[in-house]
Amino acid sequence: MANLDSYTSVKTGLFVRLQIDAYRTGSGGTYQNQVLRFSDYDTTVTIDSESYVSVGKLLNISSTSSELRASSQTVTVSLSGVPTNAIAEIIHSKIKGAPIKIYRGYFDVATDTQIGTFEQRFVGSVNNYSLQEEFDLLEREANNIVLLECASTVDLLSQKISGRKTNPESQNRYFPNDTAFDRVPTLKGTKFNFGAQ
Amino acid sequence: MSFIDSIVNVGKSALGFMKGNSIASSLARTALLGYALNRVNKSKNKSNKDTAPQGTQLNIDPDTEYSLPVVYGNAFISGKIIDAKLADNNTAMWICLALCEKTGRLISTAPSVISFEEIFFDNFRISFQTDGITSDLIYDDNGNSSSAWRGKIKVYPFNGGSESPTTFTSESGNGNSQNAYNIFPGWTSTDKMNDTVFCILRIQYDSKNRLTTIGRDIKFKLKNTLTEPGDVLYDYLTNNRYGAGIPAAEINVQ
Repeated sequence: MANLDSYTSVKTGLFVRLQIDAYRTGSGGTYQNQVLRFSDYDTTVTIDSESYVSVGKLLNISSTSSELRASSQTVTVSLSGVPTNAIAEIIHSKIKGAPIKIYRGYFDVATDTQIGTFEQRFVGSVNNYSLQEEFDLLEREANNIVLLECASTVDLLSQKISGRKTNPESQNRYFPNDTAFDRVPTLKGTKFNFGAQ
Repeated sequence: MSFIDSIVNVGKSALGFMKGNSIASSLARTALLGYALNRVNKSKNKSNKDTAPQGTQLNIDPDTEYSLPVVYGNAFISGKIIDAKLADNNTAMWICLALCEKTGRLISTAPSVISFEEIFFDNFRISFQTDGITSDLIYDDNGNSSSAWRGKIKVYPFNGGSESPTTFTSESGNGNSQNAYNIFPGWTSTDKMNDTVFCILRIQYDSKNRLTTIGRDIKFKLKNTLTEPGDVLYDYLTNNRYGAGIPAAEINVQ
């Protein structure tokens, strides 16, 4: 963590990098790669040559805990104030499974300069997402909230089953045109009269 | 007239009776013919039993839920049968044993190589003839040798797919150089065995020398050049097939 001892007042911000490999704005059209970068800081900040748009209080991220060893955690990222006409982008894009990274940065209030470097807070993938709608009948307006439930990489790895089994389904998952394991199921129980004439 | 003449006369009268046209003569001829046929038949069956090999009925039991292991360093491994076929009028048995996964690269980016060091067939170590494929002497644990299985077993090792033939490092012979689908009966070029370390065996039936099964216990001694703990951890973290599949860019290698 950055050394803050010499600063009288400090402000902080969380920066979210969401990489969506299949992104589109409507039900039709082709999928494209899209990286969404936003933060709850009050101005746009550049990290590793990438700009993070400020959305201020509209971004809320549940707390994370820092542990000595990598542990499995779940983080919920909520984005408020999403206009109704932008909901289609969320519904028709493949957000589930998208890699997400969350950084924290510290800034000097007096000079608005960054203190130290950005610290990685969370690395994982979007496990699920949901939409909440708050409809104001008098104003005839809807306020949408997007909730992203994110599982850490450690959590995903603990659930991951890897490896190859000696059956055609398993082989074809990695090598679609390889027929080498195709005969294993039919071979089971087959009798061979070895040496009989 | 001696007693010999008396016996001859009795025989003549008996044959004369058989040649006759009476019912008794016909019955006697039928009975004699039946007896003769019966003896011939028995003789024929007895002869067949003595010469035709009965063979050994083998039940191959492959496992569709067997996970291919990952071998780092040195290991003895048995593998699982993934294909079997009888050939040459049932006197030769072809089997293919899937042994382990082909591993990835070292941190230095050099590819790892898995080599075959030895093969043990029912606890006998097999040595090879100059072709590096055909069995020569076999050795027991005490180093005693026997030529009983000389020329009876052929071994074709592969260390990364059907198009990756290799040889036993313990042998100085020519070794295997053909693609697997050109060796195993019935295989085609789509039987690629991608990224699999495996071995094809051809076993010649020999009841005299007790080579009547495909081996109750076949073991291979393998050696992987991927041995250092850092290389092993890196390979396991990054491999998409049998490891964690973490992108290499997210691993700080120093």
